[in-house]
Amino acid sequence: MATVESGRVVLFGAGGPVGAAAITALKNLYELRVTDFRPMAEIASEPSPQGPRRPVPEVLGPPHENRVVDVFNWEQVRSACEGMDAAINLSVLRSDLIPAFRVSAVGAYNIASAAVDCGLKRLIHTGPFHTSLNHDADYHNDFQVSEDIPLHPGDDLYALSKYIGGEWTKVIAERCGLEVLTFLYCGFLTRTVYDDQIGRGLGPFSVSIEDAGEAFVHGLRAPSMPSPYEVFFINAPTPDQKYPPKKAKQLLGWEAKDQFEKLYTRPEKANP
Amino acid sequence: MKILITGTDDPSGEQLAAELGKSHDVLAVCSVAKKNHIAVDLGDPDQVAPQLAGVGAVVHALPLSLRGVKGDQADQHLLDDVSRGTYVLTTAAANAGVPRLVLISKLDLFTDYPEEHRVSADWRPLPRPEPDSLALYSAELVCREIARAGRIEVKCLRFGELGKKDGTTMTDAVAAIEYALAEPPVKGGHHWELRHVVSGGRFANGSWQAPEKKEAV
Repeated sequence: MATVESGRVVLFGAGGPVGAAAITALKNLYELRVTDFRPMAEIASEPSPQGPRRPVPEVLGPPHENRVVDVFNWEQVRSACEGMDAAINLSVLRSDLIPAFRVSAVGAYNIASAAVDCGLKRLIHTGPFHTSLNHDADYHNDFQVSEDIPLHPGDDLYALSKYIGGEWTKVIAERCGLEVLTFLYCGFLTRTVYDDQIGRGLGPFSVSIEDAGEAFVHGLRAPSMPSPYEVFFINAPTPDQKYPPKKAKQLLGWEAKDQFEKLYTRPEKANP
Repeated sequence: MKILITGTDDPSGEQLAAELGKSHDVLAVCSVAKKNHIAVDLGDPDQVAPQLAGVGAVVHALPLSLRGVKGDQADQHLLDDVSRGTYVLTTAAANAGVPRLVLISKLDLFTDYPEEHRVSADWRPLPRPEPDSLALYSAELVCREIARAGRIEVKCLRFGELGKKDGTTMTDAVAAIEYALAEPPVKGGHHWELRHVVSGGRFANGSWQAPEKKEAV
């Protein structure tokens, strides 16, 4: 049984906003080993590089642990997986060539391989779903796109390097019997809706950071999956019907609490 | 035509370069400089881009020489070198206006199908969860996805063991590359094309053959 109701969970690349939300959602339910390329205390002491509306991670004390891990380094990743029940891979570097492949691709290989090596029950892998990649084979013009479609990253460095990491992870899952849940994201908002956002519209693949964090609890606690590698859209079920997150509700029992009606409703109709 | 060929660290890659050199102006690229070959770090765009001036096609045979890295982190460097090197080379070629890249891959990706199955290029690859296999697979994925965006054509030729009658003979390999290089540019079709090029053995049935050989049969 791959369900992880309790126990120890290692987070890789936990210094970003999704990591911050994951820590908040998981800290009272699991014993966490929180890792990033930089010390967590250093990350937490600075504003989020993604802007003032993005959370910075809380630095946890015992029984939790904080650790510096370079996901390109096999020994560090292997060591971080020892004694764990599950792992969550949040690591990514988007725009610099060498780190993009070493973190997003090879890092994913290291984490999946170490998860197998250490006998972890479940791995949650994460990555982007790019709603537009500026070529005709992306899904920009489609509707009711489902979670199991193959990604078409084109030549975009971020999309392609994460895609390779995801494909390597999939091979390891299918060949080694590791259960992997892959969570895909696009746009992030916060649970708090700011005045300047009201009535301004909403991108078709959006989720609040808080909901994204809570999805990890559902991911860890969900029953065994139909196949070793399952992909989920982690987004709000918005009325545009482009990327409906059906599988997350069906297999994880997760649905976004924040559905952003105030953003996609014309202000004069929302507040007559 | 001026052709840039990679993967010439390996003797079979070196032999391919020599064979293609009989009919083309070949620029042989390897990781360590040797006679008639230049050393280029394929993962470095600043080293790759200048080599593409005047090149009419790229033959990316790097998957023939996967095991160049030794020591600590050898697996990680292998995966990084092949995936990033293929990305840099393919995007640089597209940026330079090179219309076509021929990717040399291997039928190792299909070894785990039952022997009695008649496997063709329409079958899903079955890479193993090992660095060599994943690196090979990533070279295909990177090329396929970049080709899908429409800026460069990629013809992927999967060979059996090179130089073997029950794999892919050097004669058949060279013929398949020459054919891929000479084909007219795609007009409105797919920019990614796969062929299994096999001279004998378990994958021979249904594999691609040069038209003149097909007629002879």
